Amino acid sequence: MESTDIDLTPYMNLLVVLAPFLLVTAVFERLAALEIYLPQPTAAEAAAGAKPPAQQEEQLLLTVSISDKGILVANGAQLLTLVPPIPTGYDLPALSSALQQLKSRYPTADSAAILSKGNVPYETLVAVMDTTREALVTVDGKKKRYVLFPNISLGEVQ
Amino acid sequence: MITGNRLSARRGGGAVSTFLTLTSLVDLFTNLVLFLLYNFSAEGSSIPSAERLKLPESLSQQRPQTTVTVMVTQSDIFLEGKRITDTDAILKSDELLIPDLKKELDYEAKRGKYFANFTADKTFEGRITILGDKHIPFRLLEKVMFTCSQAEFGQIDLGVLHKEVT
Repeated sequence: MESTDIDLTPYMNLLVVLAPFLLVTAVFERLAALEIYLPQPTAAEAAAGAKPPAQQEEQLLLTVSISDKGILVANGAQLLTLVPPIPTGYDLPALSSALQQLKSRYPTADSAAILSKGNVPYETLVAVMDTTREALVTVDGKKKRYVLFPNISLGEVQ
Repeated sequence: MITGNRLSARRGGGAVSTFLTLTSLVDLFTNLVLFLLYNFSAEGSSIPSAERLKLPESLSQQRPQTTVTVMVTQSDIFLEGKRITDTDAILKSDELLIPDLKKELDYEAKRGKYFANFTADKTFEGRITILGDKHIPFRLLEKVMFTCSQAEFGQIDLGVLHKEVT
């Protein structure tokens, strides 16, 4: 009839001490970094010299401009797409699909310039940078990341 | 006397022994501790908790490096935790360069190079992290970035909060 229980007291002591300690030191927000590529003439020249065949292909000088009328996607001086704003802000999903089409046309291109007006909030800029860097595509119910144009430089447009 | 009798009667009941059931509590604690241990990071939080600094969220998975840090809130600019200047005057001026920040950054660059002399595996890379409030206008960020690049800090990282893919 005698019940033989394991004595849980030491274990409970340990847990009672560990739980508050870990709760206090827990980090729930993780910091990440976004790298910006400042145009460096020496690096650009070196890259151009190293890859002569790449120059024969069609070059993509992708610029994404954030303006009041929406987001302009251009190749150099040639305007490709205008993504008009939606009532809640900029239409980032539409921008994403436009950029994905561009990526499939120029698979080797990986750099983009984001031009914004001086009054564009930092938050919007980071959201557009995210959209330009990578796309989230739903495959079989799972979201996958696709790298689009990870080398981003920033500039201002008047 | 009556109560005494009752108590003794209950005690005398014998075979009934009441234990506090700790099993569920132990389960709970074990789960909690395992979860927290899994999330534990020895680095701790490097996010400064300034009142007016709300970082934007990004999907970026790149880990931040420990570098010189410029913090740009809506009202002030800090370098390595030290207040440099307020943003109102900077937003009004047409100059791209922020003179006060340039002076302090020059000093940081000099210091970084000096220390790099003594460590064999480290060179001065000119890496800097900008922690900006999500509401600051691009014009302000541009000026800070320009000033950084003028002061030999050419490798600029933007500090953001990591957002999980949902």
